[in-house]
Amino acid sequence: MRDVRIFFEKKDMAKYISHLDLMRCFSRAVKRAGIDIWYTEGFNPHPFMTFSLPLSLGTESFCESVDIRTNDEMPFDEIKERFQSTLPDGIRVTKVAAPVHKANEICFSEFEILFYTEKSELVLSSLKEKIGADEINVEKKGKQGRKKVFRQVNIKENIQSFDFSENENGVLLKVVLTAGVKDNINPSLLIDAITADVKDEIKGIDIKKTKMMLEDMKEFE
Amino acid sequence: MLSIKQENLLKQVQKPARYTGGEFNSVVKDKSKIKFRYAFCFPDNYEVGMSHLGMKILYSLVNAREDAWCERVFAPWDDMEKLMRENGVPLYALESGDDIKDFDMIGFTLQYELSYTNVLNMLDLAGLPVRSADRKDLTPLVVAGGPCACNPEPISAFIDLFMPGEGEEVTNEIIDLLIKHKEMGSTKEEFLKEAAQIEGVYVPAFYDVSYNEDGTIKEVTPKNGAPKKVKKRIISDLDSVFYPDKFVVPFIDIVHDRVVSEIFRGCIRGCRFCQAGFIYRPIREKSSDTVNRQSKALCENTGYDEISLCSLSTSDYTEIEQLIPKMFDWALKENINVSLPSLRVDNFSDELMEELKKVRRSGLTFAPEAGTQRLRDAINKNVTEEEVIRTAEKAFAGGWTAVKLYFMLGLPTETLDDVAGIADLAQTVVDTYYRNPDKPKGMGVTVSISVASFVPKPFTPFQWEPQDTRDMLEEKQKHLLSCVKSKKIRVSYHESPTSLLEGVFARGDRKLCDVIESAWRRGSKFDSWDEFFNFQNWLDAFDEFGIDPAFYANRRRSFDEILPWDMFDYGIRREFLEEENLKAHRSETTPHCRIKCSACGANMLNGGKCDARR
Repeated sequence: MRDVRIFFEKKDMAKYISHLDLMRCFSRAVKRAGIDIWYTEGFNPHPFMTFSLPLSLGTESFCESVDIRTNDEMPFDEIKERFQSTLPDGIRVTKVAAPVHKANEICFSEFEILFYTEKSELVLSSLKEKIGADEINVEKKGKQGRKKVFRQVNIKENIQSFDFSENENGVLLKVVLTAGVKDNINPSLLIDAITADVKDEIKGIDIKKTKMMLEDMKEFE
Repeated sequence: MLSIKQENLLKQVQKPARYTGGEFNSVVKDKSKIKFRYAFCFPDNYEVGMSHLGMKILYSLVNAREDAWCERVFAPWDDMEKLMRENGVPLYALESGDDIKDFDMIGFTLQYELSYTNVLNMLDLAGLPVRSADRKDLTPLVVAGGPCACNPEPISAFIDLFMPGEGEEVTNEIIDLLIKHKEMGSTKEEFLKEAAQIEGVYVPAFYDVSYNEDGTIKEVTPKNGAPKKVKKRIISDLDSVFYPDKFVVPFIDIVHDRVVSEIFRGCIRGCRFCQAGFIYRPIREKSSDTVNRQSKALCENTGYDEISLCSLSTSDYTEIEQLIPKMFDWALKENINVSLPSLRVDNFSDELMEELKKVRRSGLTFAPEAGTQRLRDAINKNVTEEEVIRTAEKAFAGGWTAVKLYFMLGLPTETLDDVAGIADLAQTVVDTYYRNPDKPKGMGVTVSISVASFVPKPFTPFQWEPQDTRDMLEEKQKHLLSCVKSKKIRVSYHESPTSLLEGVFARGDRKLCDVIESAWRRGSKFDSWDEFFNFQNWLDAFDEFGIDPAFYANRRRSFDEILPWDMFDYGIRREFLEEENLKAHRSETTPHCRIKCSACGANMLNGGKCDARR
């Protein structure tokens, strides 16, 4: 048995595949690819497969990863090739390798958020002001037992770094947010909070996840 | 690929993967290299439509042609529909994202009557007039098939052409003919005239219907050379007919998310209430080698971990004992589960029972359909109480602790005693469990009774029978509940005015076209979904045209009345259905086709061949 980490991109229409659906999609792709994957040995055996972090519906990513366990020693290159031919459009395998870090070591994610607007200057100054404020309060969905509850959270501390620029489509925000098992922040929370004043000027928003990092800012491998 | 305008909507809807296309095995072709574009529409949402085997077959069949491209279209859920209408995005096909109004042909599969308003809604959403007469151009031609096409009259004003029967051959014939007429620059009428000459094609505009004063049909007159009788199409040899080796694998969870392997068409049982048991005759089987080969290819190409055998009654498949070991041989190694729906456990060998234990077992379900032997005889459901008990005994000994029993209320000749019999039968099953010495320790038994309302359908011996009114059904339901004494028995019953509507449309005539259009204009759609169904809309629509739904649903027809579907020849002799009806009223059974051929006539569709008699 051997652990294998598969890095992949999830782009274009594939960004509309939810996390649950993606898991199903991968377990079928493994079967189609004829990879000898290890099955769990419970009452209801299923292919062993764990994703590093769930990705929100509608977000593109260049840095997703999933771990599988194979029964044989099929070369990484062959796994990559076989997998690629059985995945739907929009999902592309970028690297297959032995895992270096544990998934729970992930502490940060980097995002590129593009705000489509014709009034870049106005939008940029408003976004800058909001993100620079002392507190960024958002409503976070949570659960108490079975009940769904909302609570107010200040996510200022979750923003590790940010950087704005303008391009022909509008305003681009590069931001590093805390991520992982402990303190995962969905970028849409930040977006909702900082765009409140300029909603009408923004014609659309693209979110791309570009990197996953450890506590020391080294890239997750 | 979707346009930016289309894609923008996806960010605002539930389950956007319903609308993206791009699923594994979906077919994308080069538009410049094809002559014919076909939008195959299922008039319900993605999850329901994607589960339908017929669509998978015809999708792959048309796409096997180099000159044609078939794409899938489903009814958008109301959140998406609202955004599409607000933003001027017409209904598009999933593979290309192109508007279906520009396609050559738009086809609907009619699986249940309550999807009719969705047909109109989808045409409208595409930007097309809903009425056939208002669509003057040759293309897009709007066609329909499926089981409800056996009486298409209630939607005959909206569809240009119907294809009753099995679609594998006639679809290609229509495509060939339409390509020819497109190249010739023909008018729609010129095309339809020639199409009406193809066997199994019904062009409703070519039939004039006149009525008697009491509202029944006086006469049906074909014109433009259309045939007086349209014979349904069947496929003669299931081993050689096209069957897909790939299914589109959806991203989202759909209703039936697995490999479906068809083992035979038709049914030997002849249950008198069951439309499928008559309209799919004669019985034709696939060999176990074909089924095994096709199942294996589908698993390899889809990655599914479950196969379901598909037919009207799995255990009537003559090669079941050969098939199961063949399939288990590779499926178990691959962690693939084989499920066998509609199985009778009683006539199984012990070896087969052992084989079946190897896979995950689903619940155990029986369908006695009626509570007393008298009524089961009347409906020709040849299941005896002894058989039910013997099967339950075997199952309980095998470790099952939950049993589901299916029944119907409102069957012809039913009395309150028959209703009480449902509760009695369920009680006997409960008692059987506690009599079993090997029952699992500390485990109770649950017997769930699920009760549906009977709706009489065309081409069955009950096609002349009145459907029970809602008041009658309610009385029977109350009686059933009062007869159930044990807490081990759970009753689920869902009486809804939808079964009245189903009954109206199943046996309706052309006068109902106005009603359907009116109800749709009042906002009716997704009528089979509780959250959308609005009965008042329908009552208002019936009122508007002075039509009494009881005329269609609750009226007994005489044998000499002209029925709206009499222009169709489904192979079943009228006299056979009449005899069966009379026998039902005498509570007499008819043996199934392998015991004795009852000369229903369906074998004549297949040159006299019928697999029940080989």
